[in-house]
Amino acid sequence: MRASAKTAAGRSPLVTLATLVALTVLLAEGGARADVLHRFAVIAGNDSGGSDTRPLLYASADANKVYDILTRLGGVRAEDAILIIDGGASDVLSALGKVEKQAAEAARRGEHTALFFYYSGHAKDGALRLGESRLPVDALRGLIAAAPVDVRIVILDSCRSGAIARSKGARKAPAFAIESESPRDAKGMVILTSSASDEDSQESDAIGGSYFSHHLASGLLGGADRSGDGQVTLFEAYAYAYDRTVADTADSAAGAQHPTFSYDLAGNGDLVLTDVASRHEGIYLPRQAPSGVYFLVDRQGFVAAEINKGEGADRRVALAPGRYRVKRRLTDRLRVGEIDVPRGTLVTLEEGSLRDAPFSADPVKGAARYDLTSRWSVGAGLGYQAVFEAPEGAGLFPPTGLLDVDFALRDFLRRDWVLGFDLAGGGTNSVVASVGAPFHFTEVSVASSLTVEWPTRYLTPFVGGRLALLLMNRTFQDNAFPAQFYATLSPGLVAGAAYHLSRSTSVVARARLHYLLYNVDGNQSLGYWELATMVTYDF
Amino acid sequence: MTSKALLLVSVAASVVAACGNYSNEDLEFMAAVPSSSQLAVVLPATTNQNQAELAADTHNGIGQVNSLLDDVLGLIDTVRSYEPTTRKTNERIWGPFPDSNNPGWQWQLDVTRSDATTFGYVLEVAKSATPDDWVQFLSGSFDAAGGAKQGNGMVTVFFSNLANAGFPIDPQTAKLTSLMINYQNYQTPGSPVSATLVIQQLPDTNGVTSLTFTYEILADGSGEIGFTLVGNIVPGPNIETLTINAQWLASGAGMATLAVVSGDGAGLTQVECWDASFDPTYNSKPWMTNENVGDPTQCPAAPTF
Repeated sequence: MRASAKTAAGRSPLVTLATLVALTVLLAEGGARADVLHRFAVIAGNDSGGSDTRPLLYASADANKVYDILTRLGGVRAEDAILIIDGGASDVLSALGKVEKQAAEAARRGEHTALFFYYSGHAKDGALRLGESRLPVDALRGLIAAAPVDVRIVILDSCRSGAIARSKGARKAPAFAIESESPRDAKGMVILTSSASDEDSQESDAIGGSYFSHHLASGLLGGADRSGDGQVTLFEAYAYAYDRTVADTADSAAGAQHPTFSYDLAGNGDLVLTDVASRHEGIYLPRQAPSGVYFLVDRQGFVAAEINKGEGADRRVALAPGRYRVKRRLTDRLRVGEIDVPRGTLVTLEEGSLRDAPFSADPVKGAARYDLTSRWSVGAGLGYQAVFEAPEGAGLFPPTGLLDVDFALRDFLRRDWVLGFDLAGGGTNSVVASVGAPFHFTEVSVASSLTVEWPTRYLTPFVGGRLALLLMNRTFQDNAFPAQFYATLSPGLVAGAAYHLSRSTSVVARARLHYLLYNVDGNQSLGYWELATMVTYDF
Repeated sequence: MTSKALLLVSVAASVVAACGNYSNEDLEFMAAVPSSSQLAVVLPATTNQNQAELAADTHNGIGQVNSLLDDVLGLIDTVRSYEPTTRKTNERIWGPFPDSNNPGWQWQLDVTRSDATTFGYVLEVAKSATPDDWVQFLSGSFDAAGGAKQGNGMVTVFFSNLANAGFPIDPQTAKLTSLMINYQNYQTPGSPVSATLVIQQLPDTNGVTSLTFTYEILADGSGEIGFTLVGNIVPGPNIETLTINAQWLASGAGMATLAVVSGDGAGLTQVECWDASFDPTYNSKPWMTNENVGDPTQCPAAPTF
């Protein structure tokens, strides 16, 4: 009985309801078979949502992953699938038109047909945002509802931004909401969304994708096959993705993310989305293997599948051929190992092949820097610097105004890390009180900094460290005194916030606190502070 | 790398990287040694070929003083244009520096501080071959009683030491044995920079072994100077000793009194005044009455010291 595997009680009433309905449908229809459907798919991913959104990192990668799974395990022939990466709304509409035409021909041949539509990317103001183009959700739904197919499966992974785990989608307005109740025009339609209407959908550098698509993909690869029959149904996949997404995002700054599910499959029963048994290729987790979450990591360090194995259950994970590292996390250590998956072979993972490893040896590298979309910004402004008054240091370095020019490289080393370079110069007149010597003081500083920022819609606070090379010079009116200079490296802290006037322009208020070693008349530890305000422009 | 380690590395890098001569204390040590400009006597220069006789004598006397200060203190000015070679809590040493004009010789200036306001200094010279055999050329002290660069000081220059050590000096300087300068330089309103220069020398053709200059300079440029001339100045067979005391205003206008101390005309006094162009406005010269001009009312008011 497949229904026995659908339990998600205690997790969500929504999932439980879905499970019960699915059970009813399955009992009535006697189950479903993937091979009775001619499947078509339109899969789109776009990291860009236009000028008023921040680029996503993994939307395109998620779309590629889903395309691979559907064509490899989901019964969708390559000629019946269209993958659109970074395309616009017109590309999607064109693809839908093409696929519907094919589906109509199949229907005329008497075949049952199904259409998968998957989208990963930005959404805002009731429209999918594909680059600078818009595709209204209502129009999309109407278009798909009118498609000449028997079953329509729409999966949307999009919504708003989050905090620590980056979220996806719009900034200014609530993301579109799709009702959980089945609308009148949705007969034979299933709609999965990655989050509720008032929630953000989040990406994770650690897993290299959005939480929802990652867990959906892991489920489709076999992780969701709770029945153990080697087939992953729509409800299994959704329940698995729901549980894992909620669990992973529960502690995120953006809050828990609850995928939604609406459907009307009357007359069609549950759908088998992937058949992991027939492929007989991948990794097999036997019943006797310890329970827990298994991370199967590809050669690039990305999690190809994250399988939550129950006690006494077995799992087939239909991974593509290749070499994988395996990680299972215990409370005090990791169990890690490596396994090769030859083509056409289902390899059993033996617990004995794993070894203990410390957490520092985690093979999950997450998103490498190569996947980050780094960008430059430049800023200019005015600052004021003053050395802390001290008995020995007073009068050495007079307070001075500075003209600052900053360059910043964002998201190069890591997401929300900013590598900064700045150049400042200024000068003032002062007097050495002890000898009554007027002088002109000039200072030039060249510095690099590394800060972490927490972007929000209007305000981005940041904090970090800075290392400055200070070049200070003074010349005296009295020719009896030679010019004096001092150069030193000065480590310090920097903190501030940027207020965003527009997508590219911000006003920054910044404070610095630096250590200053003075060692001409003996070693003295001085410090100085700086306040500055500047305007920055993001490229 | 832990944050603690990172901090240590940063501090270590700062220590390694810090360099320069930026120092307030250096300035205090430097200020203890007078510069030539600090003690220079300033009387507006002139190109007037017919300037008053005693104005010309005053110019000449001031020229000698300033030239002497340039020669002596200018050497210190040069050394001081560099940063100290050695810094100790109460001592700064410049050098040894090789003497580019006199290969084989080197100089060193050592300034010490005995208390918060009292400094002493020595300018020494040595042969590069015997670097420990320093010969004292100049020594001095300064009490910055009025703050840095303001107080009482004394400088003694030992020309004879250089000659005795074999240091190459010009024939004119070789005639000098020592120079002693006592000065005060409170640069407060109404308080003049005053100095007394006593030059000891080998007997010249007139038998003179000592010359003394005393002067006071106010901040506004007015001043006075007194010095002695020896020579056959008054017509007659004897050598005269004359003293000149000159006073001038910032504009240059001034007056001078020449007194014949000994020799022909002993007891005679010449009084001469001049305007800002140094043209004589009044001259009373008893032994050359044909040079007398004007009357005393045309003399400027003397500056107040």
